[in-house]
Amino acid sequence: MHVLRHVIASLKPGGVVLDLQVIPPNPIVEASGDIVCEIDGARLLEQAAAATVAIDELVARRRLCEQAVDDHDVRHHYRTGADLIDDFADSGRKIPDDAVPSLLGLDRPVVVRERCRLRRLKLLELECIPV
Amino acid sequence: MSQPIASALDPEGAHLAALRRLGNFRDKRVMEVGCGEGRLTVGIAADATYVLAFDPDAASVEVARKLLPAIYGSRIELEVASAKEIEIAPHSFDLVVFSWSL
Repeated sequence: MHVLRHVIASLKPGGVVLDLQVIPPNPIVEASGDIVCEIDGARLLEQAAAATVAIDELVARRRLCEQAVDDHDVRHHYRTGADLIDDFADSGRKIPDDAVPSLLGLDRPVVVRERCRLRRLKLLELECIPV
Repeated sequence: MSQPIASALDPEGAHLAALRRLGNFRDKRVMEVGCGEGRLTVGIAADATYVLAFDPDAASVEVARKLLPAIYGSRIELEVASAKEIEIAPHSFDLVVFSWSL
């Protein structure tokens, strides 16, 4: 909440916040259009949920007003399954242990598909009109 | 010696398209919080008057600086900073973008 307040203090009256977050369900790994496995994204999803709570608190206090929401899929492309595993080694997400052998065997492009939400929020002055 | 990871995040531009659906950056002063390697920064700056983009990860910001097309000049300012500590003048931006960073 402190970070959010600090940053929105930089907004001009009537300014806009665009907040991009990951949302459930968990990310999916695909190869050639087939689902390979689901990634455990709990840690990142929990962080995103906490950020959403912080925004919602300011909405409840009528400091911000939600004007629009845009849910969309984002794809992260990897050359091979092994590249994906390397990239996820230090991330906040976990590949299921039983999916690792099949991913290591994928010597072709794989894609992680993730659901994201963008919220548009207006810094409130006198009124809030949804767009 | 390890090889660089061969990957591309959102080459389809879904994030930038969503930002443009909900945000009008034209002639605006924009702050991008959590810019990483500047994946969205240049797209935002294509319309904006000025973009202050920052991230606490110095290595990522260095990559962003290297990739920044010279044409943007002073319209894009990249800084290593966290949202908690950065000093920003009050009422100085039209839009703030949090990129997976709040």
